[in-house]
This record gives sequence, structure tokens and C-alpha cells, in this order.
Amino acid sequence: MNDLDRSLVEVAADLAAGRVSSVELTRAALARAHALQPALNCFISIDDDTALAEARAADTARSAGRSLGSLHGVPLAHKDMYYRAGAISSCGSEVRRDFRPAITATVLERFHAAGAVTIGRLNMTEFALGPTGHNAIWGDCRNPWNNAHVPGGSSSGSGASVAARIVYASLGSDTGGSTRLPASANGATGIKPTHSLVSRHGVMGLSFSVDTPGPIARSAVDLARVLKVIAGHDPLDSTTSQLAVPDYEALLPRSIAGLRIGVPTNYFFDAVDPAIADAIEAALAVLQSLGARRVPVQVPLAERLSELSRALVYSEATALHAHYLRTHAADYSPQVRVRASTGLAIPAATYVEALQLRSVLLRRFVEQVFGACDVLVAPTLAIPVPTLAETGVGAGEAMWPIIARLVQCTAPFNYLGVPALSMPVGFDARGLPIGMQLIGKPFAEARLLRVAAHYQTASDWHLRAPPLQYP
Amino acid sequence: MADDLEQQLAAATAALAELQGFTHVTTETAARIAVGATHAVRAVRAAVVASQFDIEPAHFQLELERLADSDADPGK
Repeated sequence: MNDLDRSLVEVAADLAAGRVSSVELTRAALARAHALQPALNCFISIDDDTALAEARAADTARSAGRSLGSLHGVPLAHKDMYYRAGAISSCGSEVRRDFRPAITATVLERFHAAGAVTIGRLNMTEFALGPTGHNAIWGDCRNPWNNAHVPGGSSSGSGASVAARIVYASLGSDTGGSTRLPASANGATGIKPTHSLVSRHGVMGLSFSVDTPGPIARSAVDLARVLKVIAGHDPLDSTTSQLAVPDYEALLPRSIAGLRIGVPTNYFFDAVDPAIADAIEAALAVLQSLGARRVPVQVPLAERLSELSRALVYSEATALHAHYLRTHAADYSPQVRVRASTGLAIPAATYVEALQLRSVLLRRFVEQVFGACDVLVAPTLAIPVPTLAETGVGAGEAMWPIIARLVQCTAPFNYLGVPALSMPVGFDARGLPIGMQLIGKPFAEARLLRVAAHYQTASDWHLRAPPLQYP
Repeated sequence: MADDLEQQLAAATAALAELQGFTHVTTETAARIAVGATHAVRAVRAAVVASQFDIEPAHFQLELERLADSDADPGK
């Protein structure tokens, strides 16, 4: 088996044992990135020189007997909105095509401290404003399972590059589903952590009340390794939680026998595509075979939560983009310009009401939902992965309802700030992946990762690779 | 088909955009903005059913921590 096709945890162990070098792995990742770029357009920039320099440094440290951390020598890549001081971070936009921030994102500092190698900057929806992965500036990223289809967004390159076995994991970000949707559409495993678990310092803002950096990997086990590296309080981000971060990997083996898996009786399965419903039923049966119990759960005000989230996101996005919209409006693509401007028409008092209501609805959600179950499930996407054509500007008005449905099952949990993980649970008739969400109480990442890891011991959806011409 | 409120909001949006110096907001853009904004505002109005006079928005972070999962149970 090619080393790039193995899991992050496996290659990290091989690196530690000296069975493979970081330079070898990084060269292979770079070669695959270049080879697949014409078909997938995962990257905005592939950074051969800096990647190989980092890999050599990792190997030198290893030779000297120094272990840098749990990701020592592992090649990764991240959405092009994580700042590195002095280096370009385009945010997927024309407006910031040459933007060089003065600061480095705390999450990148933590990856560096853990020994990870970064091979490039990943494609994304312009300014992370959209759930499909279209990008009129840098070119559309494409789904590796079928490149006529969207890879999901806004972390399009993050999902596609992990699924295509270019990198072992990547950072996305999630404001309405932007980590979970690409994870689902590409057959990867991704998590939107609890709001405030992961630092936003040095990360492009879209909606500071809702934005959550989130990793994508090929399995829950790999995801546990990556999340542990980036989670936890950051003195440079006053909104991060002071709570201790568990050892997610160490907690994975614990049994899920007796855990109550909640299946919503309202909203989330309304008009869900039959193939998606079937795949989730089958996944629930697997979890039951592992000892989990299935229980029905009513989710309070579920039908309002996505719109409540939009009240926050639109308002804050318009505030953040106001100066650019006044001075560089022509540099935005039309769809993104409208999305960035929608807060213009939301009254400030409505925005504050939506902010105030969050803690009220969070409390009600936790009491009612997690009084009845330990983990809630929902589709990630309630509709089959659409094509680029169906959801592009060429589709006209017909694209708007499809785009709205893409975040139907993900955005509610951004408003509530709770963690939500997406894992692959099957494929539809066209061969495109199907994802299922696991949702938990605040800071329940360990529980979600544990349930997903147990599921993945009893299934192989996460091991399947897209049909590409791999080098 | 835009409803009456959306049409009125589109006109108001165009005026607000001009007031704030957003020259890119055309009639068509204002109409699209009005659709999105109308849905969001209606959702907030419908969801607020009691006074929020004493609610501090920043307490949301504290509420997340207060409701934190411990995952101390090795499977129940």
C-alpha cells in the first residue's frame, strides 16, 4: 500500500520508528498534489520548497533524537484563511489575493509545534461565504468521486485533498456546515468542535459569534489526534474556553454499549433523500449492534435554528466586509457579494435579539435533547451531492433553494455552538458519499469521536478511496 | 415570487445601502438581499416569545461551559 493511502496515526508511528522519512512522505504528497491539481483544483498554492524544508527539519530533529510531537513529519494542508505572518493568505478571494498578514494563526503554531509539515494553501469558497465550493476567482474545486459534482464548501479543498489521499488531514472552518459538508460530500470524517474550543486567533473571520475552526481527516481516530493538537485555551483569543482538553485518543476504546442514540422525530429527516435515509438507518443498525440504544427525540425549535444562525452570520459578515464592499465591490463574485451584503437589511435590534436567544435555546436544547439521549444523529446533507452546474450562477434562481437545503441539517448546530461530527455511512446510486452527523452536548467531542471510531471499526466506508489516476 | 414585505424591504434596502455608501447594491441585489433578510428577521421574531431584558449575550460562552459534557461514563 502507498504510504499516502494509510492512516495518519499509522504513518506517524512509522515516522517515529524511522520506517519512513518525512521527506519521503512529503515528496509523495507533493507529487500527488501536482498530479491531481488539474482534475480537482484542491490547492490555491502548492508550496514545494517550504514543505520540503519543513520535512527536512523534521527528519533532522528525529535523527538528533528529538520528537517534536504527535504529528512529527506528517504532511498536512489547510484552508487558505489561516494566517501565517508574512505569507499570502488569499481567503479564496480577489480582494485579498496578495494579503500578507502580520500574525500567525494559533492553530498553525500548534501544528508546527507538534511537528506537522504544511504542503500548501487549500482552495475554499471566496471568503468562506457559501456551501458548495464554487470559486470564480481561483477556479472551482471539484469532488474527487465525480468531478462534475461539488466538493461541498466552504472548506472545499480541505475535504477534497483529504479524500484524494493527498494529505492526511486538513483544517477547514465551520460557520454553517463548512467543515461537515465537505467531509460528507467527499467521504471524509470532519468535526465542528464546540464554539470556543479552538482558537480563532489569526483566522479569517466570517461571523465571529459562530465561526469554528474544524479539522477533516480520513477517520475518527486520525481526527482525535489532530483535534487534541489544536484544541484548548489560547491567551490570544479571549473567547476560548479554559476547560481542560481530554486525551481524545485515549478515550476512544471505551465501550459505547448502552449509549442512547437519539433520532430526531422532527425537521432533520423531513424530505430527506431516500438513499440518505436508508444509509443512516443502516448506520444506526451498526451502532445498535455495538450495544447502543436507539431512542426517538424531539428537537425544540429545530425549524428556526438555521434562520437564527443566518441572522447572526449575515449581520456580522456585512460588518466585517463593509469596507471592502465600499471600496472593492467589483472584486467579489456576484453570489458572494449578495451574501456579504445581506446584513444590510437586518435590523441591529434583531441581530442582538438573536444573540440573546442563543443561551436560552442552547439550554432548552441540551435539557430536552440530551435529557433523552447521549448523542443525536442527523443527516449531514439531506439531499444528494449536487452538481457544480446545478448550484452555479448559470442555474439562475433554481440554485437558491438547493443551496438553502445544503445547510438545512448543519447550520442549526452552529447557532447552538454544540459539537457536530460528520462521518461517511455509504454511497448513493451515482457513487457519491453520504454522511451522517453525530451531535453532542457542549464539549462532547470525546464522546462523538468515540462513537464514530467504534462505528468505523464495524464499517469500511471511511477506507474507500475515490477512483482517481493516482501517481 | 416576492411577497409585499419583501418588496418593501427591497426598496428600504436600496435606501439603506445608499445611506451607508454601498454603491454596488442594485435593484436586483436589493431584492435578493430582502429575501434572505426577511426569512432571518421572521425567524427571530417567531422565536422570541418572552422578554430578553436581562439577558447578556456574552453569557452564551459561560452557558456552553456550564452545560459541558464530561464523558465520564464508559458507556452507560
